[in-house]
Amino acid sequence: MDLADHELKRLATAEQIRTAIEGLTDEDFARLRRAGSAFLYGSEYTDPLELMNEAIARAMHGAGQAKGRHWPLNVPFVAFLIMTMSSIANASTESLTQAFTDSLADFVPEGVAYSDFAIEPLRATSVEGECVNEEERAAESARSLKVFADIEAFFADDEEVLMLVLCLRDGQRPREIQESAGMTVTQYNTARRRLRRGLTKLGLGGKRP
Amino acid sequence: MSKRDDRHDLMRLRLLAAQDALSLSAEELAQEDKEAGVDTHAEAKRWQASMRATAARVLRDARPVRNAEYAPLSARVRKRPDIDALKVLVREVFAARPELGLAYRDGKHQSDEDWKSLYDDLVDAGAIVPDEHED
Repeated sequence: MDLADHELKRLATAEQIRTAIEGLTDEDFARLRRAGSAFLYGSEYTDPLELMNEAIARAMHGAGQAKGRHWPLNVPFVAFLIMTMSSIANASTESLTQAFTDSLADFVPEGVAYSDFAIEPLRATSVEGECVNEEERAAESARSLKVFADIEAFFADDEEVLMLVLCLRDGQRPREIQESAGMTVTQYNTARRRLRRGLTKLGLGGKRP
Repeated sequence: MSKRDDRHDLMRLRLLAAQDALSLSAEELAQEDKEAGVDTHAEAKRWQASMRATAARVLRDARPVRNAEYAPLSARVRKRPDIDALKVLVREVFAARPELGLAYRDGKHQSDEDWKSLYDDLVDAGAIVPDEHED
């Protein structure tokens, strides 16, 4: 078996993706719904299911192909779907790959090599990235700046969430934020929860930057 | 801060929210849904049906469109080899590819018509090359 065959066997086929959809539990769907909802604000999507279906379509197109999203079978399906939704919401470009690698350490499931989890799903050529030219990229950056302004305004009265946002924008990794913000584990977790709920409210509120 | 950093930061912020979604316990998920008036199971079924339909649509769209004039080989007039030679061919295929035998009950207890049909099926499946055996 050559390397290409070996690599191919590690990636899900279209049928395996369909089987995985059937294997998702109510709890899995509840997590996917929350992640998708938190990704909406500042993206072109207004419905988390619409974003999820785009992720499924990309994954199905990528199965057995060189291009597109690939699901490495050693990565939990839920995590893969969240990664793919995030990538779509962020209209990912090649420049995002490193940020993904930096940010996803906390997603790595036990027993899975970090390199397999964080890099493989992103190694595939991004359809979104191919379509984004410099002008669009500049527009996207300006939109991101506006989104941050809205988020900071939304959390103006929540010092802990604002601290979390500031630390993150300062380039800190999630695991470093708690320490530098001087938060307990509980404070950090509840602030992160309020952040998710706030992003969801913004995203589902239909407010556009 | 550069514009590129703003985009990176927004993505990282979203992932932070996703981390929270992954960290919720089953009880917390149920409680949140209850407070929001969401039927967790019904919503899961709705999502699953929609995702299933999306996956099926992609497969359907990716399927090559068959030429309208295409007719399966078995539907065309064919001059098969004589029945004994045909049986030998089919048995050879089953010997080489046992998985096909399972699908065709190993070729046992079949009428001649069954054998002919089986032969046609195997030609259609590409397991037998008709040009090598038919006049």
